[in-house]
Amino acid sequence: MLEMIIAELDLGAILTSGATLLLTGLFFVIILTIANAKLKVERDPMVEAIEAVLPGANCGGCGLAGCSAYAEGVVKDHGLIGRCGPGGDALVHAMAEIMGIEATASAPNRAVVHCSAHSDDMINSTQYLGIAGCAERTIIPDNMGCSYGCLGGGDCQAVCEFDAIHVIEGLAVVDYNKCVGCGACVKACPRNIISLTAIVEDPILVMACSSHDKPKEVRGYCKVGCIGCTLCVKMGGDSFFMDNGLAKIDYEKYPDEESRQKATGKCPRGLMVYVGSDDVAVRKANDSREPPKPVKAKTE
Amino acid sequence: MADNELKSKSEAARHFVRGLWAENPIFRQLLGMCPVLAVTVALKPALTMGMATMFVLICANIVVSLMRNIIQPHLRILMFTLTIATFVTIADLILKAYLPEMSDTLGPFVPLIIVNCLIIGRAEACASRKPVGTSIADAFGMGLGFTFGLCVLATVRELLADGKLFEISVLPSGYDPLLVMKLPAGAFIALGLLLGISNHFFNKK
Amino acid sequence: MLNEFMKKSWLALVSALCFGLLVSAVNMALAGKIKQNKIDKRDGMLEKLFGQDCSFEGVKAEGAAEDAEPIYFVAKKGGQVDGYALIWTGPGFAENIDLLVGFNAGLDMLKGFAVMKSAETPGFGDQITLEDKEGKYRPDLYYKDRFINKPIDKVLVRADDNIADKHLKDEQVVTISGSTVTSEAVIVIVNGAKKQMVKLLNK
Repeated sequence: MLEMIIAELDLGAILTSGATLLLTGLFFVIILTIANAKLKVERDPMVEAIEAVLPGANCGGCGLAGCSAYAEGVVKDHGLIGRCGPGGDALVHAMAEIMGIEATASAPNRAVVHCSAHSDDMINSTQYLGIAGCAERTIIPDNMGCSYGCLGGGDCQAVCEFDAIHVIEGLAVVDYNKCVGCGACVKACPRNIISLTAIVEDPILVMACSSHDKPKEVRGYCKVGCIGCTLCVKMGGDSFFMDNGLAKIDYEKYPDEESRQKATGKCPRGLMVYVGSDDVAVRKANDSREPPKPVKAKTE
Repeated sequence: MADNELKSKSEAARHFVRGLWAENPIFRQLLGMCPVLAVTVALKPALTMGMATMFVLICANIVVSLMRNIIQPHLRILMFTLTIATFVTIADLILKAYLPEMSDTLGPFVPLIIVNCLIIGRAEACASRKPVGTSIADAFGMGLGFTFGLCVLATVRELLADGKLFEISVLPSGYDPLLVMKLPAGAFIALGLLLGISNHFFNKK
Repeated sequence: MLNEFMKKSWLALVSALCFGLLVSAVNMALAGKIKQNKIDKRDGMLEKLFGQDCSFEGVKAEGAAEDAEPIYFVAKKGGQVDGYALIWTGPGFAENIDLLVGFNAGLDMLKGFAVMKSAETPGFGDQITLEDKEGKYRPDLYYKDRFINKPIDKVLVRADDNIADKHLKDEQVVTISGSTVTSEAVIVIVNGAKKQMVKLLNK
């Protein structure tokens, strides 16, 4: 078979076609080389160098359209350095070296769940047996007592690319060792109780409630919900403020240790929690118990 | 060293599996729609087309992967198309020689593999960045995923249009053929319905 | 400068050469087989028209090269001329249609046609390729059969729309409903083939 094929080969004709393609190739290569020389778009070499060291995950956690946009942004505005979650500290130093500036790590954005009610803390009048996902569940009226809190349906867990958020005993809990602050869970949560917060300290104190309901109603459905007693604002100073019946923390003026202790100590609901990378799960601010062990929630 | 090997192996496996479903060229990425709509009238041409595309994809991925480090950026696309065109010509010749009937049926769609965005897409996205092993696995996965998609669509269309599979009647003779499934309109309808079904199951997760 | 150019482009040039050689070699290795496939297909079509017991002889144009395509074919049964055939092309609904048109030995009747190449709409126009595979012959069931034994000296035309209770005239062909364009294209091609055949044989 092979011999037959070889016998049929006409070397002259083969060389002719090879040469034809070679000449065509040469022609186009020359055109491309000229075009490359004449039409080349000059890019800032610094941008290219930074783009090369970026992780290339295009997660958008920095708040820009992607790694390429971030590289350009960082060169223009050095303040954006440290916004890249997946890159971490090593990246900050690498970028600082490229741009020839002093590396000052700014607080990275991380997902924070503003609800602290595990299944035990909720007082539900009915038992929900419907579709499991949060997006479906949230449109059903009275499917749980609180109309602000975490549904525990795991929509955030499903969209997380980094395996950093898990539903533990009915509450979404962020694993800050894995979270890069990409914001996928923020978009996925139908109740908008996850926010991207600059982690100015680790662990950081967060107000783990989103309910604007009246105290009586909150007491009726939740053991840990904010009742708007304003004690934290009175005790903790101007770092705490009230927003329509819900206490909040101003992270621009993150409270010092003393005022934090005063505020959390007085909170009758014990709803302020510390979150951070040393604890995998949420730790109550006024709770000395061991934090709950992370359990990977079962998904159907 | 062993660790590295393990890593690259799992990477190749990951790329292979990805093409089969999670990034299936037809149902997830909607790539290469021209042959998807044109050659899925029956299973036989669909299978042939899938195999031809897979052959080109594997060869192109190997060659591109081998030269990924010495390629000049401004000549990148020239090299990709040159490589792809070469292997498409070879595939076309092989089909003409050994499957003349299929070659007649597929007609211009075999040469059109050159501009199938799946192949240049894989060359850009995978072969020009990854070592040869990963690229081959990627090409196999994507090729099989593409063939699978073509075959599913062709099965639906041939069954509804003729009551046949591989030109063998499988439905009872009383079946009234849905002629529209043989026409381009039928291709769009069947593809749309299949995409809907696949999205339904994929989004459930 | 030339040095710089070669340094950047040697890969493209070397691959262009290699790919050219590769394609050319594959083409050469398979050219014989591809040509044979075409001849086999043509011979199969001729057999369909004239029956398997005929032998066929291609007639080339005068002064044509040795490997040129025959311009028409002579079918012989037991040493006697049984008919003639030639390939004729014309525009169809989608692409050009290639037909192999057969004539009887006296050159007064059509033997029918076989489709060499067509890309007509599946289910509609491609009914011109349908044939009686199971041997259950019903005249007029297949479009092909409507051309058998049509006279050569009259130009074929499309049958009138209301022919249900009238007798067809010799030169009338009933078209395929739903694919008038393809049907008419075939009639035009067969007419063209007739003219050419008569011209070739009268020379």
